Amino acid sequence: MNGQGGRPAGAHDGGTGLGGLVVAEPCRLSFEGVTKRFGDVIAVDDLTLEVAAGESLVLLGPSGCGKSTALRIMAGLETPTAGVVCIGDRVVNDVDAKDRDVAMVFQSYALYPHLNVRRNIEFPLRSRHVPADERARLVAATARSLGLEALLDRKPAQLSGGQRQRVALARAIVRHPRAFLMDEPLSNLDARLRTEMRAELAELHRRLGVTVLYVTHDQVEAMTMGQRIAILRDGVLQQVDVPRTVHDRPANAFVAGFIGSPPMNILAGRVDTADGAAEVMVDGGSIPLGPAATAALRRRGLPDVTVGVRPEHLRADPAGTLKVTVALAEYLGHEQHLGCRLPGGGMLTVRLTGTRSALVLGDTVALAVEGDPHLFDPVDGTRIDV
Amino acid sequence: MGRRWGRAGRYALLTVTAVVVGFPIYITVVNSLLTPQQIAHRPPALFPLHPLWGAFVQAFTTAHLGLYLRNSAVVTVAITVAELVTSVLAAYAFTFVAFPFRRVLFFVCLATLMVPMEATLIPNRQTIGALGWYNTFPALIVPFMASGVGVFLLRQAFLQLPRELHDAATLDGYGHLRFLLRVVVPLNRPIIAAFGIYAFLTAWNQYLWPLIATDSNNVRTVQIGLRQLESLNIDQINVIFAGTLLAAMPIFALLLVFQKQLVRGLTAGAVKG
Repeated sequence: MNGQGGRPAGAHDGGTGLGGLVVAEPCRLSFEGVTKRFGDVIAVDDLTLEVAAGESLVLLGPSGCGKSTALRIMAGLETPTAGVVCIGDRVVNDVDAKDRDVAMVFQSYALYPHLNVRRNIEFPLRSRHVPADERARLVAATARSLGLEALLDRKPAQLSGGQRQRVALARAIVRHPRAFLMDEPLSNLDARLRTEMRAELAELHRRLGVTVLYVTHDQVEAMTMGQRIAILRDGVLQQVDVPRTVHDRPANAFVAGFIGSPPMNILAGRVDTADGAAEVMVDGGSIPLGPAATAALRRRGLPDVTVGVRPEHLRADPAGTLKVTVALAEYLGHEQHLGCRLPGGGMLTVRLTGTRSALVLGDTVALAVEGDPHLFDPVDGTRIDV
Repeated sequence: MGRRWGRAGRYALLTVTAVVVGFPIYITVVNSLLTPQQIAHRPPALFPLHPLWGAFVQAFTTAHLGLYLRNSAVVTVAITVAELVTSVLAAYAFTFVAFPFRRVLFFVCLATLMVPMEATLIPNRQTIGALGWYNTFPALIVPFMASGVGVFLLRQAFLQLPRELHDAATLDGYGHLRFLLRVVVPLNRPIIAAFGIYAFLTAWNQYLWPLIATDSNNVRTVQIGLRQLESLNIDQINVIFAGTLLAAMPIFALLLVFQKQLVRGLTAGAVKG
């Protein structure tokens, strides 16, 4: 759960833990051709995906893309219409949720409001008839590792959002599940606390080395929490890879537009290979292509192409090939986002870092593209590899 | 200034209401402590200068009020417990268990609310007759063991529980019954208590059905006992007042003890907290 580039999966403590916590051996989770229909709606469409033991994998997508349904299928709260669900090497399609040995953390935390923190944490232990002294020991160890000792006698209503989140985590950790399923666990927190909890979750994953399947619609969260990211759209898996690859080499125009902040500019263009090096004619001008991209487009032989340019790869340059008018400026301190109007009415986002340039609204400027743009098939949106 | 007048007005209104509601009760208490002659005297006495407790003793000795009260207690407690159990279970099923025809069955359940009690009197009378239950406690209890109101009321309350609580409990290893007892019931205690009180009051105050389903003093309830008292003891009106007070005592006690719960339960939907 560190930053981009990832860390090899499975670097866990293997049966031991910190602060008196014993952690179950993590196990892999897999979907094999899993489909879920609700009436006529296909929520998950033929999903095949594996989370390695000890890995943190993020399911990312817009709301309604089927990511939560997939998670609920893994938890045993929904039954797949077709396909095989495995936890470890065991097919769990017919195994009850309570016997799957996975814990789930919910967006709303789902704490029991009438029980104090101690009783909330030990709730899963009571159902499993863990003896009282063992229960007390486990609750104490878990509370200590999450800094909840002082809050054990409080009711959930007396806790802050971040504290509730930690109690929900404690309840998941206390029974040493073989995997954690997290359904947008940070969405109810304010921005600052979310950043804090993100770091805490990452740290927890590093310490416990457990398998985590994490659902979010927030691509920043996905980039920072996931060793790998799986992007879903309308129930269909679009791409699974490490954050850097998903960002730098998106598999299609949808992934390209979804990952990155501000999002990638996507433009429809016409290929012009008239004289030697090709360029793509777009609204407002043209985008030159390097030899590799030119060759790739020649091989395809397509007349049209979809180009993607990240906002950070655009800069104001008198020799630039795109003519735009500055229509919107958002100053963020460390960087500036400019909304630039194209002659045809479309918008381009430009990200300027540092103190560079002070463009004024209404200015007409020329923009240059740094490096090759991303190229996608104009029909099905798939990436054209260069 | 305006606020102060508004406050004064509110208290004035409350005072008037309290007098209107409280006066008949007060007069009942006073009359139960007087002799029939004193009650008939005009102007009437508003305060018993020499209270007499004989009427209460008589209510128990000659009017057998003790037996009627016992019968009422048996019937009311049985009905209340049964209604609570069936309503909680049915409301839970209608909220958390997926089964075929759930919606249809729920509407059937609701439809029973629209059948007036009078319409069921004759079929019910024939049913208990056929079962040989005439003049028995089951005749007084069984027809009221389930309640459409209860199912509806509790289902609405259970629907307010976040779905994720059920998911969490499922993953924590709790089946339906344990989730119901450990989470749903504790979280809905006010509304369940309110419905319990409502069920108790309704059962305690039943008149028509016990009259039809019984003719033996051994099982008849206190409301019918009072009525008999009235027809027998025209000359002992103070005993009737005493009997009425005794019959109302459990209700007073219940309202005093559970006043808070009742108000909380009735306003639970309005002020979500």
